[in-house]
Amino acid sequence: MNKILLNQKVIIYLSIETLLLLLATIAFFIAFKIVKNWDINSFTPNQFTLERENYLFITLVQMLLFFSIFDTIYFIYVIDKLHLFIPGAMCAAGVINANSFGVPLLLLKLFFIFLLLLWQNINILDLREKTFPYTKIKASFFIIIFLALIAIIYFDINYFFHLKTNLPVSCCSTLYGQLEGQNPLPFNLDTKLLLILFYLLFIVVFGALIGEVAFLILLATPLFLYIAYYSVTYFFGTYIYELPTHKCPFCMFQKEYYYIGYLIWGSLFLGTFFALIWAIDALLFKIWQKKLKLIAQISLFLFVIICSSYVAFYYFKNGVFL
Amino acid sequence: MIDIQNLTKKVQPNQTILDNISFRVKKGELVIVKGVSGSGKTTLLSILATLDKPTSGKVLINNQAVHKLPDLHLSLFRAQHIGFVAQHFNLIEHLSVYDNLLIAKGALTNSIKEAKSDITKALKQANILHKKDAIVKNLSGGEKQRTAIARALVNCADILLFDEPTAALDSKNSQTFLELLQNLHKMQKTIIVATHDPIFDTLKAKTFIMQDGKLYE
Ligand SMILES: Nc1ncnc2c1ncn2[C@@H]1O[C@H](COP(=O)(O)OP(=O)(O)O)[C@@H](O)[C@H]1O
Ligand SMILES: [Mg+2]
Repeated sequence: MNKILLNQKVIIYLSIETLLLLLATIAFFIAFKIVKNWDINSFTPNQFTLERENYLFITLVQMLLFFSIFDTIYFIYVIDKLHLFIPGAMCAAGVINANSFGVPLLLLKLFFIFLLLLWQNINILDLREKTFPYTKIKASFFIIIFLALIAIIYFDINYFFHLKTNLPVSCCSTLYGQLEGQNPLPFNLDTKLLLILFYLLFIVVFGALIGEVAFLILLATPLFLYIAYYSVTYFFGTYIYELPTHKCPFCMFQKEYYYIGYLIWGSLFLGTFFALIWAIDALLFKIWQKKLKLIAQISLFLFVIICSSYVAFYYFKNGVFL
Repeated sequence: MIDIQNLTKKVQPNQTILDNISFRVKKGELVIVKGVSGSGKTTLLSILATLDKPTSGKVLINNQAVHKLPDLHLSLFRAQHIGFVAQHFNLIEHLSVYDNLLIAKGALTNSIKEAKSDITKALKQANILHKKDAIVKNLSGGEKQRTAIARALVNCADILLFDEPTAALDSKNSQTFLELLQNLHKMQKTIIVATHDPIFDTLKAKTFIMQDGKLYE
């Protein structure tokens, strides 16, 4: 038996995933019925039953959202702890890259949370009205969400079953280090251009939120997320670790760095997700939600401030940059 | 106005409590629903009070299919339009008369001053103002009922529902209730009373008979 699968944290994680699948399966059956039969203008027993089940459906998906957020944070915590069992791994980076299922799994899990947040947002808009205008859309959308969960479970199983304790893996310094002559940054950027792009895109996204330019938010936010990933991994991270050669998106989740990774990545995803949802609401439903916008602005601002302050504090302390 | 079309309530697939009921109540009308115990009166009132949902059929109150509203809208509708005096009153026994009304008022007001004057007005209308600081559990049956009526009035509901209002009253208190009921009727409230008490036969009102879940004129 694979030693990883007997690890207590992995067992807990996989149990939570099973529970999520169970909740989602019940919700899926109701969603399917709603897509097929929902008609708010009907007064038949079937429709009244469906209206009651609709509340169960909503509660289940809300539980799914709630647990998925904790589950994803827990997943990162688990893979970080697993580096002790995987030869060569120094942090979660080695563990998640130990086979080809890890990275897609993590990305899927983040995307899943985005989808559920978007769902919950439509749900709020739906219940605000008196006629359940988006209930069928919500149910159809959930069927896609359910398929995403199936994909996650598929990657979950493959990832943990193929995690070997006897195969050495690369650590983060190898994974994210500059291979000879090769530039790891996208679009062949150098660090200076990367940073210019980072702050520029931040200003564009933030400005577009202030000016409520929805399509610009929809375009610029994914790009900002992409550039922010590289900026944190290849630049800001080195200031968190105070080592110019230490490039890793995962080590910052460790106690040594005061678990700052949770705050940095958390604020980035919260900010970009809410900005995107705000823009989708504005474009699709013609609804401009002040609260969403405010949360997005605060989160993105917090993210940029935290990242920048690591560089600033280093400079104040040492009088030089790394 | 209340418009009910083909209302059916089943608790199990084979147990029908309300069987395809249709009737209308106009604004300001006083309606008595008579029927023996177990005929389905309380179930009907609970559905009209939007506390229970039908199995099938239409219930339109002020042209709104109330049971089709999302829960939040439904609660608001109930608070604004419906005053329900349940058979056992459902008051909070360890609170004062005034506080029972304040809780009912709380959901719909932002201003303490406005709440105070509405509560005083409702207590006066239900003739229980003199007991406003008494704890509910120390009140007599008639006083409890008048507290419940005051609570039903506090949000200026236009529809009042009474379930077996004289069941716990002696004949003197029953007479007092009838007078109060007529006053409310004069205030243009739409009123439905469910009862098996023959005392209501003396009243000039539209009467329906309920029998085994069916309604007859
Ligand atoms: N939730 C329930 N489950 C099962 N039976 C019920 C339920 N509610 C009411 N009943 C039954 O439905 C019938 C009508 O009840 P009710 O509406 O309370 O009549 P009434 O108020 O005229 O006495 C009774 O036989 C009662 O036992
Ligand atoms: Mg009864």
